[in-house]
Amino acid sequence: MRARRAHLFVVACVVAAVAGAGISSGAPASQHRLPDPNTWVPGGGAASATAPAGPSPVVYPPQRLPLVFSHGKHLARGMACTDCHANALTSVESKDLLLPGEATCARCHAIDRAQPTKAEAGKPPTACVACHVGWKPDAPIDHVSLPAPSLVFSHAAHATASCATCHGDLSTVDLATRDTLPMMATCLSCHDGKTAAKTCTTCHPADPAGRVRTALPDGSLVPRSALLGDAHDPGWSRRHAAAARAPDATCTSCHAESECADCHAGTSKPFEYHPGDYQQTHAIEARRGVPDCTVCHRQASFCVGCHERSGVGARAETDFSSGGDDTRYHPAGWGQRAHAAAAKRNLDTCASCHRDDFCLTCHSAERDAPRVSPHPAGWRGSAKCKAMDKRNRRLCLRCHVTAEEVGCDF
Amino acid sequence: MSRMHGLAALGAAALALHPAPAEAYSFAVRARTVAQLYQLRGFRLIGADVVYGRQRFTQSLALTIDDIGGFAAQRRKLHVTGGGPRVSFDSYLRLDHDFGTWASGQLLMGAQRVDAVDLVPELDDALLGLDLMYGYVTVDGLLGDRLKLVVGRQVGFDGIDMWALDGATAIVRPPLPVTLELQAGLRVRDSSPVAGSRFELDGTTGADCEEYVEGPTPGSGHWRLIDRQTIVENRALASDAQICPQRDVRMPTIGVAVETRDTGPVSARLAYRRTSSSTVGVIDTVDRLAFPDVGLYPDEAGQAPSDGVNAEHVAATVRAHLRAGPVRIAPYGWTRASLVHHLVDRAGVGAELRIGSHVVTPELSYRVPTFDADSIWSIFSVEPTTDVRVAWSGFGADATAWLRRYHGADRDANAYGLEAGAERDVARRWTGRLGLLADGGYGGARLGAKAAARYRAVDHFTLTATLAGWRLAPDREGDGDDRALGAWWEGIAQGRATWIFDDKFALHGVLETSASRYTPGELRFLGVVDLSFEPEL
Repeated sequence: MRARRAHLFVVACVVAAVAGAGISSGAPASQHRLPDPNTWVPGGGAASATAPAGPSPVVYPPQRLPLVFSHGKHLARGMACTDCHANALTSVESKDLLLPGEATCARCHAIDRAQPTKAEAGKPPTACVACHVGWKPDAPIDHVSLPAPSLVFSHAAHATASCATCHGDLSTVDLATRDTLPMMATCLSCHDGKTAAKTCTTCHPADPAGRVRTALPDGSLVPRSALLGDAHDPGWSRRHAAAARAPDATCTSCHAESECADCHAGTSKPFEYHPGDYQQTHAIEARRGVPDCTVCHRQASFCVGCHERSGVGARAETDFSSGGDDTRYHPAGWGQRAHAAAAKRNLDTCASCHRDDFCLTCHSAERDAPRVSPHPAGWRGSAKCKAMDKRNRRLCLRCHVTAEEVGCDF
Repeated sequence: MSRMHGLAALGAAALALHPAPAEAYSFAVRARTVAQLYQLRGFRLIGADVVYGRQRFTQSLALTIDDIGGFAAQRRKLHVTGGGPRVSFDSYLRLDHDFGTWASGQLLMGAQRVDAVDLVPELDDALLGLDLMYGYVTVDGLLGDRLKLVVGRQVGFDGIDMWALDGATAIVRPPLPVTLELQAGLRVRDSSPVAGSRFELDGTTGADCEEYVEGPTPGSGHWRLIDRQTIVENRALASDAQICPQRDVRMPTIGVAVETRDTGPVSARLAYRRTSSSTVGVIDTVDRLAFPDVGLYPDEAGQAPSDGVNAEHVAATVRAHLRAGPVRIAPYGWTRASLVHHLVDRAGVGAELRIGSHVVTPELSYRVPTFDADSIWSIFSVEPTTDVRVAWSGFGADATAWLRRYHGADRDANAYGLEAGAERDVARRWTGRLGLLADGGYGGARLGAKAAARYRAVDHFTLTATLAGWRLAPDREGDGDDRALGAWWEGIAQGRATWIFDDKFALHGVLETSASRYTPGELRFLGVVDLSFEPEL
């Protein structure tokens, strides 16, 4: 029986330690589970890949609050927030420390350092251990650590709003942790562009160029909510196109155009996208057009140039074709009807090897050419034909050289 | 304009700006040096394939100078509230050079060895690619913060395309819930000063460029390749791409866009952009002969237009942010019409749904390939595709399933695929990631997996090891010599190291080798020195 109790005790300690560290649940830990103030960090909405809720640890770095305190009890006694946090009315920077000092507490708690264990019945606690978790007379006191948030914020400028607007109802809260700090949704309820400014750098520190500073002391600032439809979660790099082209895209709030150009007009082989011997394996993706190569590569220069240099281009008289015809890559008969289906299906694949003039060998209305029409059915007299003829007749002249053939109604 | 002209223009600009010291409140610099070493295969019909080396060196420099003249700083000192002019400068310069045989090597033409760049002019960019990707001055806060002007080379990514423009953009914020953008300038193309081909409209190369020789009677002329021997001195083999005059004409571009501003949960943008170019008539500076003439287009009867439209698009995008109980919904849609092709060539709808930490993004899109309207592909018969895509992420994992439908006049075809991955912190300093890939249908099939482990040796030093393998089976229905290849396996092993010092200096190194059908054991290396400097304020 005794052994079983010991076993349960160990299990209970482990559970308490894990819960207290906020590892498993991410929920704020109760102050009753504070076995060791030197290792305990309040949960405050621990952020992880599996529990992204709660304030960002990059914006609000993890705190150490080895304190016993109840906001609920103090508010129930009719106290106002500014009774203890008087600095909040004048603070203009987020790095300002607004926690009350001992003198503030001593206005009600008759603290006497000469009598650290003093306790008087019916009066506010005065013993050191009543507030300082794990206090021991012969050990140094464990200090509070409140790293400055990476935010631009002035309490003074927000003094017209009630504290609860941003910090929530503290009447049911004991120790205030990072969980009671406002998150972006709370800010945006007023910072909507009408009531108050809503530019990113209104709240987030900016670099000299006016962009949001994303390299912060406690990590990289990365969007992770759906507030703006730009949560940079796994897979984001492959599916950011829709958000980037959206009218309210916020990409340039953090990113310089050079970052876009590094990939979309890049000069480096991106191992992440094109790993291994991609030269030999890209044909599958290129033929189906998924992903769209033209997002980063220009076919008429990048693809054609590379294909010709590596021996699968259409130009004759290079050392790969030895002056032969163009049938090495394509099967026999390809040049007649067989290629039409593939060309119609994904003309991009043709464009990656062939220059546009190449097709005129057959698809031309010249006298000596085979005069195979490349036009879709119903082209003559169509609105498409007229639109092209109206806007760029020189294209028509590539094949239809006489004045009589120009236009869409001949 | 040749590249030398571009360099000369840059030098002249630098001299013109010379010696007056500039006053500005702050600046930021980001410099990256990238070294790449790898090999690429050149296929040969006779004899063993050849292996070309790529030894690439890329240096980029992004510079931002903020509050030039110190107008904003002065207002702050005087505690002046409200807006006012603020001048800034942004630029991104990139130098890219390949020392390897890929760009600087030779090719066999018959019995003669010639420089590869003479036959493949696109390699010229790799031999000396000096690109000013963008460089513009912004003047904001004009007319009571109602006007912003941007002048210089600008790049953009919007609902129409990825574009670059040498010109000016005015962004007007009237006392209405909209922002108006007006744009005018010259589209950046390969022949623009200090530019490459990356932002040029796709489809037209101008290589094998032909000129039209008029015959004795209208319409009886013939086309012939531009006489390279007489135009390009000392480079008889140079490609016509370098001397096709239509490639060198300027492309005036105008654009206008209206975008909602502070309209609550719904925002929209409507944009129009038009790029045109004048028509090259007689080649050379004068019409040397009365008849027959030599021009780029037939014009015996005056049928050649004085100019033509290269691209003309209207695009609309819309997005909303809604909430239904615990579900956040961000529906979006986009469409683009190519007026010169008289068709809607891009369209799609989708929504990002977030429930707790889960994000589901279904999307339906439609696409028709279109090209520069100077390309003859613009009048070819092409068929559209429709894509359905569903992405999910949550619990540190993500998955994407997709289906592409090719709408064919004769018969339809499909391609489909699934990608999934998960990442977990498996120990204090260890993170693991596992990825799976499976796709098939038109184009071929792939089946593979990737496993990676990341070790944070110290706070700012990370090592990553990756192993991956795929089974590749190109489409046998397809059009190439893949019919003879069958299926094969390929595997890679990759090691990465990243050291970040004080958030301002980073070193990256990647070493990769593969068990490949074609390049077994080949080593590839990528090294990056990333220097980001911002002065203390």
